[in-house]
Parts: sequence; C-alpha cells; structure tokens
Amino acid sequence: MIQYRNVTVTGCGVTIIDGLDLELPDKGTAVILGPSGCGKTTLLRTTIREDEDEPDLEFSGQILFRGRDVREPGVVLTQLRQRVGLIMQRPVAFPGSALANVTFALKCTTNLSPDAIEVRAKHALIEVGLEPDHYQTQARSLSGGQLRRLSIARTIALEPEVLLMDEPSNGLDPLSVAKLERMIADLAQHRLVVVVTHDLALARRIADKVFFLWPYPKGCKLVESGTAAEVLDHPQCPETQLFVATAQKGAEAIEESGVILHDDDAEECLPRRIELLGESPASTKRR
Amino acid sequence: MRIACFLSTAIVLTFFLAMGIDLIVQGMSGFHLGYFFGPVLDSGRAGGIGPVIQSTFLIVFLAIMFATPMSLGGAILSVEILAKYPRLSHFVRRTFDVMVSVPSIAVGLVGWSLFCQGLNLGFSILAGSMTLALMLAPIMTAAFIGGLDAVSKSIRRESLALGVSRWHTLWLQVIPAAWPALLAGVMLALGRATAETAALILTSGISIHPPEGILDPGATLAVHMYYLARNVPGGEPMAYSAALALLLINIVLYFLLSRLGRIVST
Amino acid sequence: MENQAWTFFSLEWRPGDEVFGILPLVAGTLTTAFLALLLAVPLGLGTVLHLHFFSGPRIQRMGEAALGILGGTPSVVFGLFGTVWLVPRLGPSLASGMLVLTAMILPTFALLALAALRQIPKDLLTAGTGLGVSREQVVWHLAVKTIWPLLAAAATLALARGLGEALAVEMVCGNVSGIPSSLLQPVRTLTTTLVQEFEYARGVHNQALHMVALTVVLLAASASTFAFRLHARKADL
Repeated sequence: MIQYRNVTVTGCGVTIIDGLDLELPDKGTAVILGPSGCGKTTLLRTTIREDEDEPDLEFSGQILFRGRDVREPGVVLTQLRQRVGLIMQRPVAFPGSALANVTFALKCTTNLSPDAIEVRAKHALIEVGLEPDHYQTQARSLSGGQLRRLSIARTIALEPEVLLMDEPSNGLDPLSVAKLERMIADLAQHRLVVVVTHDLALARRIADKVFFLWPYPKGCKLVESGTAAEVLDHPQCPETQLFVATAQKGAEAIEESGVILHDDDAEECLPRRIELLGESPASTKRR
Repeated sequence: MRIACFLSTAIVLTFFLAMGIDLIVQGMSGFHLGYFFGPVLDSGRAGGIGPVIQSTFLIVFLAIMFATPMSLGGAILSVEILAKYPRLSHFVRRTFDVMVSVPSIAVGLVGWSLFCQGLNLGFSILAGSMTLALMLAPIMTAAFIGGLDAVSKSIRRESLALGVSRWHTLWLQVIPAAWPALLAGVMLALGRATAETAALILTSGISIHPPEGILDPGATLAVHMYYLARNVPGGEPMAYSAALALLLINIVLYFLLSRLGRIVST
Repeated sequence: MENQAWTFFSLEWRPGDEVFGILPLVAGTLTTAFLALLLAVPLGLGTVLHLHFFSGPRIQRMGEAALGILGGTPSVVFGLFGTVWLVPRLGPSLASGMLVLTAMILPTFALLALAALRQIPKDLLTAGTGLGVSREQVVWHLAVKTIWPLLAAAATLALARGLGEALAVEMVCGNVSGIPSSLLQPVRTLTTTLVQEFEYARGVHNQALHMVALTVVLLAASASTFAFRLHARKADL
C-alpha cells in the first residue's frame, strides 16, 4: 500500500531520518514501534506532505502510495489527505460544536450535499463512540478522551483508505486504551491502519505487522520487522532486544545490554526540533 | 480571500510609503545644519526648533519622573498587595486598562482646571508635565503590572520558601527579573509622551521662545507642529519639517522598543 | 442651572445664547468614529491576515514595522496630511475627518489584531490542513472564528481611540455643529468643541464644556470596558 524508499529527512542541520526503506501492507494494523525521538512522527507527516509547510525540513526519497509517488507534480494535496488520513498526537478542538468539527472538512473539500455530509459525520461520530447528546457540545468543552475521539472522527469521516495514528494511546488510562484497541480493530477491517507508538503492550495486542525503528545519531533507521510475535518475543537485533527488555527489567536492562545510548547531538536545536517533529517536550529526553 | 488580504496590505503599505515620501520630500527643505538646535524665526516659518526641543525634553522628562514612581507603586499594589483579594485586584487592573483609553483632551481639560487655574500655574511646563504624567500613568502601570506578573510564580515561591521576606523578594528578585518589561513600559510611555498633543495644548501652551523655567509655557514638538499647521499662515512647510523630525524620533523609538521586546521574550 | 440642564439635550450648541445642546456634538463624534471604524477594520484585518498567514518573513517584518511606526505617529501629523491633501479636495468635512481618523485607528486595531493572531496555536492550522482543507479556508473558518472575541475587542478599543481624538479631527472637519446629513458637510465633534472653546469659556459655558468632556470620557470608557469584557471571553483554549 505505502512504500517508503530511501527516505531521508533533515532539519535544523540534523538528520532525522536516514535512508529509510519500509513497506506497509494493504490491510490490517501495522505498528511502527520505537523509542521517543526516532522520527516516527516525522515519517507520518511526510507521508501527507506536511513537511512542505516547514521551511527547515528537507526531504529526499520516495513515498509511494499505491505505486504512485505522493510528491509527483500531478498529485492533488486535498485528495491525498482524504485518502491518507493523519490523526495527530495532540488533539485540537476546532471552534464550534462537535458535529461542526466533523462536518467542517467535508464541507470544504467535498461536493456532497449538506444532508449527505451530516449523515457521514454522524456515522463517524458513532464509530468513535461519541453519543448524540454530545453532538452539539462545544468542542473545546469536551474532555481529553472525547476530544481525541473527535479528532479521529474528523479524519475517518473523509473515508480514507489509510489511517495514520500518531501515538494514540499517549496519556490514556488502561480502560481507554482498551476501548481504543477495539476501535482500531474495527477500523482495520476495511483499511490499513498504521499506529505509531512506543507502547510495547499495545503493539503486541493489535499489530499484524511490527516495524521497529531506532534513533541512531545519524538518523533513524529500520532495525527489524515482522509479526508481533517475531519482533517482540524473538528480537534479533540488540537494539530491539534492549527495548523489549526494558519493559520488564527497567534500568537493569540498559546496563546488561551492550547497546550504547547516545545523547542528542543537536541540543541547541532542541526547542526547534520539538516544533518541527511535533513531539512533546518530555519525549525528547533520552535515557 | 487571499486577494482581498493582499490588496488591503498593499493599500496600507502604499499609504505608509506615500506618507513617508511626502514627509521626506516636503520636510527636508526645512532641515539644515542648525535645525535641531537653532532658534525659531519668523513665528516658526523659518529657522530651527531649538527651543521646542528644550521644552519637549523638559516636559517629557518631568512627566516621566512624576509618572514612574506612581505607576510602579500602583503596579506593586495591584500585583503584590492585592494578590490576596483577587476580585479587587481584577477590578483595579481593569480600571487601569480602561483609563488608558481616556481621551487626552479630557485629561487636558482637567489639567487646565486643576493645575493651570486651580494651582494658578497658567500655561506652563510644570502644568503640562503634571498633566502628561496623568496620561502616562495608566499606560505605565498596565505595562508594569504585565511585567511583574510575568515573573514566574516559582521565583516568588522559591524565595519565600527560603525565608526571605515579601519585600526583599520583591526588590531583590521580582523587580530585577522584570526589568526589561519595566523598561519597555517606560519606553512605551515615552513614545506616547512624544506623540501627545491635546493634553499639552491645554496646559503647557504654545511658545517659540526657549523656556527659562518650568513656569514658562513651552511647546513640545508635536504641539509646535500643530501650531505651525493651524495657526501660522504659510507655516505648512515648516510643519512638515517638524513632522519629519517626529517621524524620525518615532522610528528610533520603535526599533529600540522592538529590541527590548526581543530581550523580554527570551 | 435649570435652564442649562434643559438645553443640554437640545439640538443646537450655541454658547453665545447659552444653549448647550450636546446632541449634535455627540452625533458628530459617533458618526466620524463609526465611519472610520468601518473603513479601518476590514483594511486592517486583511492586512494582518496577509502578514501573518500568507506572506514571507521579510514582508511580515516590514509590515509590522510599518504598522508600529504608524501607530506611534502623533495624531497631528495625520491632521497635517488631511489639511494638505484632503481638505482641498473634500473640503473641511465629515469625509476628511473620517479619513484622518481611519488612518489613526487602523494601526491601533491592526496591532491588537496581530497580537490576537499570534495566540492561535499552530496545531490548529496543521489539524485543518492535514484534513486537506485549503490554507485560506483554515485561516478564515478556524483561525479567525477562534479568536473573534479578541478581534472584536481590538475593534472596540480602536473605536475608543477614535471617539477621543481631538486635534487631528479638529484640523480637518470644519467645526460647524449640527447633525451631519452628507459626507461633504462640515461637522463638529465633542472633542473638537473642547479644543476650540476651552480657552475663553467662562462661567456656565465652562461648566458646559466640562460636561462635554465628561461625555467623551464616558463614551470612551464604555467602549473600553466593553472591549475588555470581550477580551475576557477567551474563545480558544
């Protein structure tokens, strides 16, 4: 479905992603796993060409969606973003009611009649589990979890073929994560859902395929890939082994492993990196 | 919509450019070596603006001298002492904010009644600077309050937790930390003071002679410009020169202020 | 005093006959200020939207500098331009006064609006464009809608400034009191009356002028208070 070929992204003098090659399947749930700061968010954003708004980011390589390079001159951004939907890490409330939030993009980017738009919007809201009594609530008064669900509804209302979810379980309690998992499973029945996360347990439960990335000093690279069982229960590479081990043994695992953890090279660039990569400040602290 | 926005910007920037060019072209004719320091000749139609510069300096300087302690006191009152009474504090801050918009002509009238007539100062630099101080105080206070507020609560808490008294905390930690914002408040007031005309016409009057004391009338540059344009037949060319001088002062103040602004935000 | 209180609401201001009706003055003030606002807000909003969202960093800096410098320029300079460029063409009139006021309150509004725009979180815009919505639509439907109370507050504060302006308007508006019926008629406002008559007003006239001043202050203060109420209505979180 989506192929990343020799993708290199640099920003602020630092190589964020270095020559990445990755192929995503046509259906099901693919999990991109790895520690914080390894360019997972950047990867997602470049897929819908959001890096083009940032003057500091430079992209080279190819991203093929159904065989076609998304950066070809003929590609219409609106269509790309309708077919490949990105759900951001930090949900944002548009002004207006929950329903208005969802109908907004439909009104702006499609030619559907107002009735058809409303039907689609309500369908999407039901799919994420937001009840009708919340439809008219102002989006900014929704709780964090509801807002997150609303942002998912906004994207799936456009009926994308691929869903890119950036750290959807961040900050959620286990019950909410469970509900999220169910939603992902439903969504993955008819499309490709790509989930970026550093939550091992979540990956294990939902992934059909796992791609493990590691942030090397010279940029992030794909370390290994396979089914969840393969990568998480029988990791081949030392970095993967370390990552899996820390979930059980914590700091001990770091000492036992031979992998060297590097400090960020671009400390001066840090605030800008946070802005560029859309990461939360906490996630850029190593160790 | 993008086109409409572009057009608006084009119109506004063109106006600014046209204004600048007009000022330079017509104002430069009055500029000569002795312009800024020479005496005013022929009721202002020739010569320089030396006396006016003196008066301006006196009035503005005195006004800031009067206003700063008042404003600082008011700001400290609102931020530190009233911190325990949030509703009162909110009300006081709102009042200062609203006072910023008080029409200067009204303040001028009050100044005229109070200082010029009530205190029998007549048209004088003293009356003018006191009135100007009344105008500047809300602006400075609002700016000072903003600056003091911005000093993070954690600095205060830390200092108090170490046993330092409230007042020492204020003078040794908070105010030094807020100094760029405080300075910015003074500069903001400075800019306002140089632009002020209405309040001063009513209180410090108009004069083209060098002031001999603060009880003499004196005109600031802006007032002088108004006088040349309005009351002196044929005074327009020199009014342009005065306006050009004002623009130059303005530009300098703007860049100083934006430099300060950059320091404040780091 | 009773005589004067009665004449306060009359339709004429004739100090010579001890008739002190402020209604024509209030009409003059409100007309010039609102008309100026009507011009200043669209122009100003378009300008800052362009500077903040649709233009590169260099133009942005230039535009902001222009607005900042214009904003700090003394009002009488605009009055000077009015006298030289507007009065010969439009006569001393409502139109001239209104245009001079527009030049003055546009930077006030624009700078406040710009400050409001800066508060819009970047996430909001990327969330919108991420869904495939065009930048224009995102700016209008998301950004502007989110901060509209702040923009309204900015406009109201600019109005307050327009209500209180005296000298610049006085230079170009003609100073004939009466309810204005056409744009090219000379007009007089509360503030210009103060400027013209303060020096020689005695006795009752003096008191009447103080009432005029009070009226202006009340007008400006109400606008200002209203603006801060709007400002407190934070639309975005």
